[in-house]
Amino acid sequence: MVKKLFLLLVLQFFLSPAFAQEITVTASTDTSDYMIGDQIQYSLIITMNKNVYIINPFFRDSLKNIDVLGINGPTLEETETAKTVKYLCILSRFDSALVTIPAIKVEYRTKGDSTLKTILSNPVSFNVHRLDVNVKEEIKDIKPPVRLFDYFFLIYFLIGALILSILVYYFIYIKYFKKKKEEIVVKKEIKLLSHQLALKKLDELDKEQLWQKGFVKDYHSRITDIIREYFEKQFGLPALERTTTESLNLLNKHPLGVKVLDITSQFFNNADLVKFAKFTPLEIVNHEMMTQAKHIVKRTAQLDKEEEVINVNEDANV
Amino acid sequence: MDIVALNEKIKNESAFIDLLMSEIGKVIVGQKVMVERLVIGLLGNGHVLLEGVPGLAKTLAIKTLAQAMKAKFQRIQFTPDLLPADLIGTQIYNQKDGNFLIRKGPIFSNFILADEINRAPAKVQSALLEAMQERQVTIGESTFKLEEPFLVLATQNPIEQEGTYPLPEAQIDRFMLKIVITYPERAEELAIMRQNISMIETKVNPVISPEEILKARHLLTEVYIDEKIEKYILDIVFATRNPKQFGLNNLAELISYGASPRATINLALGAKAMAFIKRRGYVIPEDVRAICLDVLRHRVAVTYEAEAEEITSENVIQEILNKVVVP
Repeated sequence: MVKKLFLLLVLQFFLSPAFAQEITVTASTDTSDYMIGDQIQYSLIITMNKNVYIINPFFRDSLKNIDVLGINGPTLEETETAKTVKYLCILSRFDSALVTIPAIKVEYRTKGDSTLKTILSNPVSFNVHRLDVNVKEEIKDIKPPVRLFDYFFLIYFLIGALILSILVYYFIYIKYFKKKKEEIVVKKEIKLLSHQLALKKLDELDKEQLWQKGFVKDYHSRITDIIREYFEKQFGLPALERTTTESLNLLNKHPLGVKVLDITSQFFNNADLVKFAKFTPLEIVNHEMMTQAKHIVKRTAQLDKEEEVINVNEDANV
Repeated sequence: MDIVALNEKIKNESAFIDLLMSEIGKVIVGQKVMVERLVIGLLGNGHVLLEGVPGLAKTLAIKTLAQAMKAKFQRIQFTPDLLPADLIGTQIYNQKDGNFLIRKGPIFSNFILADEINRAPAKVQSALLEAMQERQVTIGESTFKLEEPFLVLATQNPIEQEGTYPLPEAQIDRFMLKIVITYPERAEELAIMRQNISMIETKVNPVISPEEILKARHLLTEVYIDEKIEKYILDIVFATRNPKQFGLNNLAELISYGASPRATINLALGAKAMAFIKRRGYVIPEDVRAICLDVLRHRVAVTYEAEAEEITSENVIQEILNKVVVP
């Protein structure tokens, strides 16, 4: 009997490599006790010989009332003689129970053998427990309420400091920097009629003595511009944007303008010669231009026309 | 030169204008503006594009102008099958001596009437416009200068646009003036009718030679243009490009592109020619305004929005003229 046992042990020792299991499937969890909602890390490790080929196991979305949140893998690790395929499933359960994940079926073939074989993993059991509630204790807040009193105090302090600084600044300003009360300057509007404005401008031009200083062309340009502007304001003719002939044609259609048509024609044509033809007029012509300009304005002035007034701002002390 | 002396000189030298006008007036009833612009083109050494319906004496005007000047005139009817060689000439093989002879085309004349220029394809238009610009023609390996004065009067029919090749903007810019001819007045039409049914042939006498025109062109350079007028011309041209700068905000959306520098040159030249025709030795703003529409109407392009509103380049130019301050 002893001899037989000894023989069996010897045979077991020598023949074990020949009969070593080709594939093993091990399932496990990281712990055996979870709280409701915890992530359960369920791993499936398939270790096999090099000549074994597995068909990837199928994981469903839920396993016996356990939600499968995600599956990482398979990851393959190889040594000279064996290879290992790992799956890591993240599971969760939202009810307390003692749970057993059943065995996972893995199908495989060995090299040179077309037979499809099956191996099962070990079932895994673990406990999912509830949160312990102490019913004897009073119900209380998770976090105490925020108290804002300190901030209000800071705001009151800042407002007070601001008011105080304004008062101090005002006191210093009144005492040291405030000058004597300035005289109030009121801009009084003096309304000039268009002919008054034109005559005023002509007088100013005359005082400048442009042609006497040799600026004959400028003098003729300015004097014609004053008259053209006057026509615009007095008769509503767009004289500034019109040529001499066009302006005269427009003037001819105006009842007041007709009165000065001839003199205006002479006035503009003389100016055109100086402005555009480098013509140097006699001194008497320059004098005459001013006389003609004033004559044109005076003859066409409408003293009773109140709506055609020009606002001129002039400074005046009150 | 003293302006009085210059004025006197221009007055004397431009006397032929009245003669020329009256000679043309023997045949052409009315169309004073067209004839005046033709003379401006002639004096300003620029070409003229005419737009008007058929039968408005376009051909007759230029033919009469040529007769009054003792100059050569050719009319070329532009058709879709016209070739550049039909216009400028070609080389012909001479079987007798085995050489190529040059046969000059109708472009070798003083006055060319390019009738319905937009009916010919682009290559023919290009050949003509190149000759207009360069004032010379190359046939084979030989280059020939065109005889001066050389004036091209091209016509476009504004009614029929089907099967036409509209002139590109770059080409159209080469025309100094674009004149739009309108129908004659009632009295003028009556005179035309009577003149044409009377069977009396009116003879146009040559009153001026081409040499005199060349001399007048030279004299045109002496016509005084003041700085104020130059500024006025620039204001007008710049207002077509940047209307907002001139307080014409409403035009900014209506103008696709403004007038080119060639417009500035031609506006100044045209104003000088206008002063010459008016027998003055200096330019006044009236001269600029008189010629402005004809110089600018083909150089200012309006946007689609403007076209939709039926606003033409002429409306735009007129508004600019009404806004830009005259010196």
